[in-house]
Amino acid sequence: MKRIILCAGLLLCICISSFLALNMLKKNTVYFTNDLEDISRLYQLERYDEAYRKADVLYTDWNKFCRTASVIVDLDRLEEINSSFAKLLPLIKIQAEETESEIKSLSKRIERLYGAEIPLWYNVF
Amino acid sequence: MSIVFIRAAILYAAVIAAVRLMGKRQIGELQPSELAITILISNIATLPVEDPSIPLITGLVPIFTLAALDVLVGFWSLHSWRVRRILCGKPVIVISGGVIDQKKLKELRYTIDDLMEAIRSYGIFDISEVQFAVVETTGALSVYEKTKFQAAEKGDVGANANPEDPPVIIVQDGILIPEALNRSAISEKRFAEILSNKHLKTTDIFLMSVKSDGTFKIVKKERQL
Repeated sequence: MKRIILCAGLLLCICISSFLALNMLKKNTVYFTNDLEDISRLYQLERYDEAYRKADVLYTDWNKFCRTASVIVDLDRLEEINSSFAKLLPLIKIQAEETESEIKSLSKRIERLYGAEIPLWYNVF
Repeated sequence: MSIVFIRAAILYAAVIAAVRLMGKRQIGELQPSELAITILISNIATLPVEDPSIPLITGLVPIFTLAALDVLVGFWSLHSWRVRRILCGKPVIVISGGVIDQKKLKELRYTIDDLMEAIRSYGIFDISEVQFAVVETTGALSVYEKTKFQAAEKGDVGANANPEDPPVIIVQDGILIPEALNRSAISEKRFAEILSNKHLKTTDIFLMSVKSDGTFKIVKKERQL
């Protein structure tokens, strides 16, 4: 009976930690996508310095989040976003044309990070 | 992580279904659910080891999910005849009253060679000596010989048929096993007496076993050259 209780507890723990991990991903991805939207808005308003500072802070936050996320998310997906983030700062600095498209693509990638973890049928299969 | 959890649960059900579909021939000694677990866990465990980009947790979660599911399903099947039937199937009688049920053999995809091989493993080389044979849920064959071919046992010939425990090994490689000595038919005092009579120390003994009637056998350690 002890083993049954242990196994039921184990399954419960896995379910709860899955839910918590998903929640953590959601919270962080919402934070990053919202901030990226802000950066995009600032960039459109030609407030480049502000956009750069915000992107810099966001990049630092992303690096912190990356460490935690690497426990549950495939490292390859995080690396893709990492390299995109690293590209964003110089693009804002030189006010490049592709900055906005890069921000959009980065935002989509981050959204997908959470989206791919939601237990919906198309993700499961 | 939740994806991995659901995937593991789906894979568990899928592998059991596949193993049940394959039938008893494929199983051998394990029950279908045990085989499913063995196949899945051995494969899953290698994934995070092979690919460092895969988080370890995606290997651990399915392994523990599968193990826990197996225990819980096992518990469920212990209480439900129906679940047991679904998971493990049921034994199939292939020889009854000395007659081979060819239809059942076909259903099981058991060839006559398979049947003969399994029967020979019981030391029976003539199928006419078999009264009854069952293919168990593990795929193993259980055979019951016709009475006239069964070996006579002690009870049949009126020999001493008192129940007797097997000999207890009390000294192994020069080390006394106290629990075994307590279980054996000789006391600590008697053990010491035996050693002093034979001018031996415990460390000189390679193996000492004691039968339930108190008789013992000592194998001395060979002297190292």
